[in-house]
Amino acid sequence: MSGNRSTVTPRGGGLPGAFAAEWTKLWGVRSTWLCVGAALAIGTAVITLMTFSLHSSGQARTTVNASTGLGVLSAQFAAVALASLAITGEYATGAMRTTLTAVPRRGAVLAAKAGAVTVTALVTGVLLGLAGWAVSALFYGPHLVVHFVDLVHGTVGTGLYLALLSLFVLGLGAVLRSTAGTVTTTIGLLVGVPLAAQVLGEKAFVWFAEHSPAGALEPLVSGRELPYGAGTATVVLLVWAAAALAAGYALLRLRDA
Amino acid sequence: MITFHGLTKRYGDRIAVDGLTCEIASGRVTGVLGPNGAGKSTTMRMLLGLDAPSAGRALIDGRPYAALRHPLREVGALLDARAVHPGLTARAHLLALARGNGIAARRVEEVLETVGLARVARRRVGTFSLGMSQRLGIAGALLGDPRVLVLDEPVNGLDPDGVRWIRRLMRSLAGEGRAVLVSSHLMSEMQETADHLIVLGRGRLIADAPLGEIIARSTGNSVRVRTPRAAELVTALTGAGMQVRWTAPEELRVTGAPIERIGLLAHEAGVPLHELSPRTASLEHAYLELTASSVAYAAPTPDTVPAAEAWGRS
Repeated sequence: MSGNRSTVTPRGGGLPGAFAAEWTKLWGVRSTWLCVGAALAIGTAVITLMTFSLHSSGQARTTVNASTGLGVLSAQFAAVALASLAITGEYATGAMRTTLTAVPRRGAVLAAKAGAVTVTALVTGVLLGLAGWAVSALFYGPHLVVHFVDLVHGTVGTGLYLALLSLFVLGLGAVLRSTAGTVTTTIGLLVGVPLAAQVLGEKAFVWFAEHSPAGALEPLVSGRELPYGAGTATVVLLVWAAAALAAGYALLRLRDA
Repeated sequence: MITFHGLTKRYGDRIAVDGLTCEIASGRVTGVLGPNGAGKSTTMRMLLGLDAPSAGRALIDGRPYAALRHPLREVGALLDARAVHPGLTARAHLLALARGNGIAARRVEEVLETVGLARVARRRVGTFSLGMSQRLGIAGALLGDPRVLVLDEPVNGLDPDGVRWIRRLMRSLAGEGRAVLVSSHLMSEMQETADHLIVLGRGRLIADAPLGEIIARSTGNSVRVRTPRAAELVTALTGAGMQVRWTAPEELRVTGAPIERIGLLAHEAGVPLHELSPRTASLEHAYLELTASSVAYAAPTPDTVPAAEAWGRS
């Protein structure tokens, strides 16, 4: 028994400690590296194909983020898997009980996971945006139109989109506690909803699809004000993320671990 | 010190823990015994804030677990050795626990050394045997140098060396003034390590007493008597209201009397004795008597042990 216990003021821990713990775990497992690698590889590959096709079809000029949207559309599923595994991976293995023993405050655990996932998704998005710039510069050279605002959309916009989407997935994961359920639900929302809206054409459903997370991708990444601008897109994603996290937090507090 | 006060957990109609009230003192090993479904694990989960009690409280030095700023520095717990992400290395797992509680990274190396996992620190936990996982769980419990240790079935999956290691570890932790709360299905293990016992049955407290006292109260305690004139002695002893059983032509087993009285009666009857020795009941015997009436999932047994009455606070 350490006799100096009472003389030492305990430091560390708290929310910063919880974040450090989550960061250590997130990057301690292979799946995180795989997901980030896959997001960058798939995204860059799709951007390259798209830019190549634009270039060979005879389009004379392009912007730094013209093809980034399609890259994000394909790469986002890797980010979804990463955000889901950050919480459902612990439920699948029972590790959540160990996590909650080390940090008993449910809110701190969820906030720390949210922080770790956000930073990771943000950086991945920015890197993907930079890849988009590099690829278009490679094909177009001096004919590339470089606007600062396009660059911000391509990098920060992509990062923001992936980060907020990841927060939504994390909240959903806290609710469903299953990797398969969380990933499937999210894919249904990202792919199924816009597709169904297109087929059905029903007005209310189209509005819903436009305001689903997938609808916020283009305004944020490409800066096209269709159907709304980047500001509204951020709010839309924030609402989805906040709703999922609030539900996840409520259930995390209510349910036995 | 751990305090349970009217601790209760209900799952719908089923009651898993029923108004448990007791204290776990520092400086000794307290064993929790009880049949499957007696509420041992549920009690431990409520103590660690994993499950919310339906009623009552579980406190550590007067505070609920969730109110501890650095819980791992106050309480070290091993509930389920497999509750670790299999993709993490042993070191990364412990490092995450340490960082969450403001514990120096140097402690990680120390506890890995203590539990004998230093050489496999870089291996992923998913490749560990149950015994290695158990050692990692104990490393996690020791990480914060806590005053209270809560160990659920710590010898599970350990080889004989590991079992002896755990036994000595728990004794030394209690010797340093810590409170050690341990559950085990292995009676012999409890008899070796526990100072004090909490016996649960169907979620209720059946006994809360020192190990020695629980064994002393058992009907399994008897006195072995060897004498060439057994028949004469039987008459004298049964006449004095003792229960006597023949175990061999010249050997008797006497229950219900202190050894001194048997010796005295033999002397008065003029019967020579070749042996007069106490036979202490095993903890297993005492435990089975205690829980006979409260086994949640009892298997039919040919010789049912009679239920003891008036055992402590039931």
